[in-house]
Amino acid sequence: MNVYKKELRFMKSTMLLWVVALGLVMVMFTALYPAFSNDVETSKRLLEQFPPQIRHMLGLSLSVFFTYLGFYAYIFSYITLAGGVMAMNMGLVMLAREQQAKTTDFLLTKPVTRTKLFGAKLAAVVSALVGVWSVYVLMAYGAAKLFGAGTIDSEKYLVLNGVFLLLLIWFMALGMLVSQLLHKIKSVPALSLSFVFGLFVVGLISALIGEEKMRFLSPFKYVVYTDYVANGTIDVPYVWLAVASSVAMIVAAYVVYVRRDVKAVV
Amino acid sequence: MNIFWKELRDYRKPFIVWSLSIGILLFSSMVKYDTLTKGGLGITKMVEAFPATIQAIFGMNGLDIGTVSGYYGVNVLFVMLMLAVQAGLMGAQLVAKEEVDKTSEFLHVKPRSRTRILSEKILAGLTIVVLLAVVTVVLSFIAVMQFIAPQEIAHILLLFGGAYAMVQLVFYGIGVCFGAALSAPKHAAKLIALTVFASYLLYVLINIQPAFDWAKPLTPFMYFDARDVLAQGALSAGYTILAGAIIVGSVLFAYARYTLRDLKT
Repeated sequence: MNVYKKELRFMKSTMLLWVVALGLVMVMFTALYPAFSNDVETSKRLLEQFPPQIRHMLGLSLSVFFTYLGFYAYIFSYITLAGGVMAMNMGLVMLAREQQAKTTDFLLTKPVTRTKLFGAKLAAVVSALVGVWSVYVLMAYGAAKLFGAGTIDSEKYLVLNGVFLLLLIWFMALGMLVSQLLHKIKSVPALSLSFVFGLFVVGLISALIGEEKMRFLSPFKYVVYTDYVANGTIDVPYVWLAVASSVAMIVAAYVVYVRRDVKAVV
Repeated sequence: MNIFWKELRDYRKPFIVWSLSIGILLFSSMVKYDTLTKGGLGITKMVEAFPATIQAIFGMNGLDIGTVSGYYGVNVLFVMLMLAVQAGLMGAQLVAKEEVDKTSEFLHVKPRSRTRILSEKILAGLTIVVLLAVVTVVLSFIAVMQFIAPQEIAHILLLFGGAYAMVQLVFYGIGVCFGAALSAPKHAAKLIALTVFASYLLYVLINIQPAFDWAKPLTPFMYFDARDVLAQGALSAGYTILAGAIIVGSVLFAYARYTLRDLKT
């Protein structure tokens, strides 16, 4: 429990900063909702002048965006991008904290096995992520109500945000694995930004070219938010893929962590 | 020139990785150009009548993906994002890493002035940035070659090459400035990461909500937006000057602070 508590204390200010950052991004986007719903009215009027077949085609996809959730599904991509950076940062630092502070041998001489250390650290980071996530979900709900979202389908809203938590865990696992595969972490932001933005761009391109194989590479596209809001469909295999790959990355990080050669500080 | 060569050698591997990833992305995207051109154009034209917010959410960005240049234009932002991440973080680390890794004492007891050290580091980074822009343009040429005669698209690709280089240099300059000027250089990487991220979000916001147009000078991703570059057939002169001013300003500030401030030991 000592390690767990200590880790959480280390992360306190980071968590607070990220709550503020996620809140800011979310409020900035949500504040556009009133203008967006005005535009929806204009669009509906425009739509009436179109020939019936086109109206039907466009109308179907437009109707998805006419609700608050449709709008949320759009801005959600950018919130998950920020969240991804946060989770990967936390995952990267989690096992490398001692290495950076050159206190690994101090920690490892204590009568605690590496397995226990790993468990306590993992539990601490997961708690931190769940904590930030819960605060975010509440803030986002409040902001939606504040900016006139009307009634929100609470089941879809929760599932959508549940996907966010899954993404956070995925990027944390990636961070943990990367931190164990590298000899030394030179810069946490450099690694997390390159990976998270890289995968985000992969997701954008996979959407542009509509290639299933590429979608597979970017966790940002495992669940297509707008599809879910429109038809309630989620590609279950992709959800399993996210879960399985997270577990695999955590296990791999564990295997390296318990066997790793620790350099003594001279 | 020891420091210059040392830095170049250090960044060789990341440079290759970045070139490869940008190449793979460009190729996998351009390969699909053919299949996309069939149909769908009528709808693009109709959606143009809709308000900007609706268009942005539909992924319409004023680019005609039915032409090679328009389709390539959609990818410009993705490439810029990746180049900006690379340039910004490299700039921040070049100078800050000595203090973070606690090697600044080792470096500064050598018979080299601070100005000299900073100059060699900046020059090394500049070389990488420019090389990466050149590689990106060459890869772009190869990626579009199968769809269009090189002489038809050369002008546009070179323009985009200029746009990449300018955006890279802006983030590189700001990164160098953070690394050299901050009294706590360990925060440099964090700050430049935040700068790149905020610039991208602002870019998205301006696209959704035209009421934010006044904020365009605040985000380098807007300076040479693919839509404007293709429409004007040139890089905006005003934004080129602004970008140049940011670059020169931040480098000068970096020199002014780095030669005077206390180094962390």
